[in-house]
Amino acid sequence: MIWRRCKRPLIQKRSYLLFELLIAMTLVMGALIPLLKPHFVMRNQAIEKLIRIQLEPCAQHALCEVKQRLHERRYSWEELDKEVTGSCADVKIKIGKERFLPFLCSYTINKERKKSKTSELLEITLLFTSGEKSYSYSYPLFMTREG
Amino acid sequence: MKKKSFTLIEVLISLGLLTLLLSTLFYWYFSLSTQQKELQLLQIPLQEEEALYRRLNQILPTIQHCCYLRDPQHLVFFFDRGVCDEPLLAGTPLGCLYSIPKENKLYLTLWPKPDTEVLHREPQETYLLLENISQVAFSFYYPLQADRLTVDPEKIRDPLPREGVWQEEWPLDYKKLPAFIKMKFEREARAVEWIFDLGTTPTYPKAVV
Repeated sequence: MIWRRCKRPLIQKRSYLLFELLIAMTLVMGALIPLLKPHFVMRNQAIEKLIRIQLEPCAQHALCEVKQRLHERRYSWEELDKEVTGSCADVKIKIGKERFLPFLCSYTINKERKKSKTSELLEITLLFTSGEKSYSYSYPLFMTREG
Repeated sequence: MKKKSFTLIEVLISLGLLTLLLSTLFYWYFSLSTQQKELQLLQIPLQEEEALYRRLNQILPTIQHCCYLRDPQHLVFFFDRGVCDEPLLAGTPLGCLYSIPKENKLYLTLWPKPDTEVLHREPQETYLLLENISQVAFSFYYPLQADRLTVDPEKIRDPLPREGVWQEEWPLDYKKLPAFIKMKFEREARAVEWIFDLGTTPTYPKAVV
């Protein structure tokens, strides 16, 4: 037959290369990653929710700490006129059975520019930071001028 | 024609790499699902506590007239409840926040205001606030009264709370409201500490301005 006489076949058969196999496996892995992604997102959302749940009482705690300092008159009106910053007790947020996320707490007290004879409106801003994460809480507070 | 097929070493390397990739993938999958289960288990008690915190944060800052600690685990107070279905318990009813150590539960019981004409004084409403709770304790903070210049002669014998410190007792004789109430308890081997602000306003001397 004619084709038997032919030295080279029309379709040249070639085996896969290792490189090609690796590309194939990478593609398989690439297809599997989207399967894992929702789990990652859900986990991050659950952690975020846990942090928010636990930080709210901590913010209230820190606010009371700041108010306690104001009751003790640790800052003068001159200091309050500018801007007062300070730090509160650090908190540990539970994000797993044995896992905790430490947060540093700092506060800023700003005074509203409006002048009043009887009271002043302050804005207390609490900032909780842990690495790149930061959460801010703001509270208005009236201070009374005595006398 | 000489057919070139996989060599054994190529197959082994491919299998090794595939095993490595799949084991990494399954490790992550397993770890994520374990973490999610753990987080869900952790979320349930924390959400219960959050709901209680929000509820108490609506009640305790509205304490009026009187607040005292009957014993270390019974906080009695009048608070502004506003309008509610039961007319006797509307307005400013008497409330008691307490825990029964044997039951490990936290309750809130409401009675009608004493000056209302009620024939019996049985608890009108009792709410179970939280379960699996132990070692409930309250403490109180009364702010420094730096510029107290005048003393009312009629009140000279009234006992006064210690100023500027947290104290673990607040008897009926004080006739004053604390600035903050701290509530501590233990739940599932966790120590929880909440502070409730009763809405006092810090005062500063006018002269310094």
